[in-house]
Amino acid sequence: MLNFRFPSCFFVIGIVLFLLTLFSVIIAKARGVHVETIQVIATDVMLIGLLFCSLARDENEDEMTLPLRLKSFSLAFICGVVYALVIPYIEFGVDFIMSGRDAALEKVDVSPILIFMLGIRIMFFHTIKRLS
Amino acid sequence: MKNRIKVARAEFDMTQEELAKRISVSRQTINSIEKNRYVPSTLLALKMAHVFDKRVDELFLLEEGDWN
Repeated sequence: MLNFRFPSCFFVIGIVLFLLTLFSVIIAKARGVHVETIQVIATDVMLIGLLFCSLARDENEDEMTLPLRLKSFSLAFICGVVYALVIPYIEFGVDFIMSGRDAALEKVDVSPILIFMLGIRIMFFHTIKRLS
Repeated sequence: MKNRIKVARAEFDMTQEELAKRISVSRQTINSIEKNRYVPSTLLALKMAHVFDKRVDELFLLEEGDWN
């Protein structure tokens, strides 16, 4: 499972999916189209695109690639947690400066995902440690 | 752990790219090994020793700090 990779062409497919969706949303917004429904689907497609990129086989895949990939996943994970913690306060600060007392502190709705990620990461860590 | 890959390469007048091709890894991996940023697997160390016709412990040397 740890060694699962898409073929390297999936990196390009992922980038194309991501950029096409991004530009479609930008163009739709610029033309005044009501984009809320499109935005939900667009976010999913962009996520799929990024997932393709991160799981695509490197062109020069060798033994150094796996530790690097794992390191980057853990860094991304840490950044995700920091992002989820910090962004609500930044948004609150900006809201407070712009609208004064009406500003409200709202949590980013990623907590369930992060809790899931933490659980899986801990479970995998102990399983791999026991197996090795 | 330090290594003598760069010296061995110079002895054999071999570029990083050539060595990388011989042992089926990327040039970046050779560069990382030479700069001690990556410790290769036993398999890769054996392949390098074979290419340079040396023993593994002639290419890779333990340092004081490695025992802690």
